[in-house]
Amino acid sequence: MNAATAQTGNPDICLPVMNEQDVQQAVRQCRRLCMQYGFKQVQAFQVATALAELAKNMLYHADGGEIHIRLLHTPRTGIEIEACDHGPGIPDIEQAMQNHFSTRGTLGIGLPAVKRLMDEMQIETVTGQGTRIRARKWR
Amino acid sequence: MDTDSFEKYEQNPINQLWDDILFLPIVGMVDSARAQDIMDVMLEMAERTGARFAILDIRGVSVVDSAVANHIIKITKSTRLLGCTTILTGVTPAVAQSLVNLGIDLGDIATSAQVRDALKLAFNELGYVIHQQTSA
Ligand SMILES: Nc1ncnc2c1ncn2[C@@H]1O[C@H](COP(=O)(O)OP(=O)(O)O)[C@@H](O)[C@H]1O
Ligand SMILES: [Mg+2]
Repeated sequence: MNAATAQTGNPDICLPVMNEQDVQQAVRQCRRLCMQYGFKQVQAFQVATALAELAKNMLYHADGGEIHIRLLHTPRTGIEIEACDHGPGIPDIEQAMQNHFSTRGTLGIGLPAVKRLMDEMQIETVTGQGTRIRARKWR
Repeated sequence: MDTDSFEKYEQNPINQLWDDILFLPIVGMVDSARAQDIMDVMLEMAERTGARFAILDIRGVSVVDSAVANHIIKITKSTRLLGCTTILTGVTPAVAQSLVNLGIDLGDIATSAQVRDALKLAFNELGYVIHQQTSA
């Protein structure tokens, strides 16, 4: 078990993302949780925006997936968003993290924006198997 | 009006707030289909009324991510082609911060947090002076 799993022993919420309504649901839950746990409104909006980017990426670049929202307690209070899918994976992460890179002709700012909106971001991806992106924000 | 466009206006209740001013509060989520509907009602009303300003309130939008911001920018651009300038309201400090993180430049789109400020701006631009009548 790595440090991240130990820290996040209490997964709070797991939500399927198969359509835009699901994204909206997840966004609502996320913002509610953030407010409930004392994040500032600016932070709550940042986390919700990052969640929306990750969730929509699963919709448009994979066949949907799951969003996990977890509270972190160590080393301090934070929130973690995890987006998991069994899509095609991201062949070149560095390229995908560049502003304006998109394989669908959309804006291509979602992934780099997640990095700016959150404090930490980690991408695990296997071509042909799927992608798992985790992003954290500390309160 | 066919059923489709009736629903469009039901979901996107655009109002003529003043002779030259439209008002549309957007609530909920904005995907491509919704964005197209919003664009339709804005353009139709702008053309029918000849309004010069449209106040688009995004306070009730679930989340303003890059896709939504892009839709909004496109809507304001196309409305402007009809001579109708959009003022974006509901741009609270929290929304503004996220837009900055997204790297979205709203360019010359006027924004404010409150609808009231947008209305004042439009009245001002149109040359209306609002004053309270004092009882002598
Ligand atoms: N979950 C995912 N599965 C597969 N590819 C992805 C995923 N998320 C992002 N990508 C790839 O990374 C690129 C950049 O993503 P992003 O910055 O959000 O821009 P956009 O969504 O507009 O294309 C996408 O075009 C896509 O190729
Ligand atoms: Mg994206």
